[in-house]
Amino acid sequence: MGILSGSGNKGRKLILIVYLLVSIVILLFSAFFITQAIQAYTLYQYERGFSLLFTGVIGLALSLYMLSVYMRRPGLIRHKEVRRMVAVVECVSCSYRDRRDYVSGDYVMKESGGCPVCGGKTLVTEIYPEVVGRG
Amino acid sequence: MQSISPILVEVGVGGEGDNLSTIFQMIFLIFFIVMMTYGQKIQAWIMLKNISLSVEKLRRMRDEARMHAIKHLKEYSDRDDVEVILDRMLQYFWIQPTSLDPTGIVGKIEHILNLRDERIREEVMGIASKAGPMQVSNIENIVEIGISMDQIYRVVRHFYEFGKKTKSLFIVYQLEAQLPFILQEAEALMGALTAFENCQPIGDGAGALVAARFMYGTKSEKVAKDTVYADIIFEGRTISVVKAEGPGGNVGKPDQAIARLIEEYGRKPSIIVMVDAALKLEGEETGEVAEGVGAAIGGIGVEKFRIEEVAKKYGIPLYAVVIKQSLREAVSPMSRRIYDGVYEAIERVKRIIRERIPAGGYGILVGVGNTVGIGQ
Repeated sequence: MGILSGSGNKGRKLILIVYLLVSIVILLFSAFFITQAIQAYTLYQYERGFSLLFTGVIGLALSLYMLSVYMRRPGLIRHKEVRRMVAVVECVSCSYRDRRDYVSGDYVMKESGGCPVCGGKTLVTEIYPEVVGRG
Repeated sequence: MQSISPILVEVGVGGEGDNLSTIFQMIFLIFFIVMMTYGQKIQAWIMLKNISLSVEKLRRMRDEARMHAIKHLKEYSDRDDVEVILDRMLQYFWIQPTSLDPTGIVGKIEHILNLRDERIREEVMGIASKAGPMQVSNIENIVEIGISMDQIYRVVRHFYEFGKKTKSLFIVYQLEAQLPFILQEAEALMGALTAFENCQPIGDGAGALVAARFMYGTKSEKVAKDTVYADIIFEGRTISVVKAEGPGGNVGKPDQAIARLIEEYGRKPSIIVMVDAALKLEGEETGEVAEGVGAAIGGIGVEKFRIEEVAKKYGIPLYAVVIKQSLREAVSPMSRRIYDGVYEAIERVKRIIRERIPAGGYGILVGVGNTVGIGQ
């Protein structure tokens, strides 16, 4: 559907590689033209410098646009935050409060056994996601 | 680098009065003419290419939501035709009653919405025959997410295909302007899938959690469909606390609960306090609490209408406390900041009760929102 979304997996991979190579080649040529332009300007060759700079900038813009499309292609695996669910358990009688991993079947206001400090009832009072890194 | 310069000059690049300048002038002239004649179509084409990426993303989200629904339905079902029935359910729609004669339209909307909800619940119960009431509620919510994702994808694809067909820049502009909001909503819905699957509380349940914390330790009774209430004593005042029945994914019928308490049970509240999650504006902090007056309840407006009607009829002041969050946070697992908002909201409700209900008096507290992962 998109520029970089072919139908076949193999064909799509080939298109992606060719597309990326073309973008990099244009980027390298643009960088080369810009360095040549700087050289020309230092030698007071303004007309030559302008032509080279113009070509370089156009090429740079084109290659960066192509690369940005490549980076936004569908199916790209992006590194997302890795989260884990934690549950907070509190005693209804004393100030005991503990944080533990979420266990399937937990819900907020669920009674969660006896308090290790006073032996009273404990409740799951919070269940929330906690960021533990990027994966 | 230095050695390549003569070669460039030789091929006419970068020399004095070079060929390249002439070529560029020609290119500019052609570019100018092309842009004058086909500018809009080229712009529409580029925008359509960008939109196509979003359409593709929405399609993948829709398929993922469908797969989640199938997985959960199959877990509690013996049937072989789960996918066929689900695909039929994903395209369920409801037709809004005509507003040519607006008298009584709220009742009509309520009737049709109830019918839709009942039909989906019956279908889910028919497929997932081994599921308990809590699982049925959660699967129902997962199917609802699937229905929403399917509709979002179909509507966006319609405008994308229409824009492609007509190459109309104005249609494409409208679609591109709306897409960030549509994608945000779709991503938020996808975030809700995990919460419903694991029965974890979501941000929208902040109001229900406030009610649950007030209710703890007292026996709750059913007062309306999927809705419970408990009478508590707070500093010499009697408060009926109302919330949807948890920990399954329910929003309940708080309007029916309030009406029943007042009209059938003969209660005479000094005030009704409603606590709900509210959408924050960009720049506002998640978990910020604000107070106001009126019925704090979202949705299409049926429940709001009913609550306002009862409050007006008996002259009961309506107080609102809201806990702010983004759309994404409202349907994603409840974040730590929202819990802080809940604790703040509890203190605000206590203050309102002390200030507005005389000692020995009576009031109603309603915790609005989806109570998935929140018991009572």
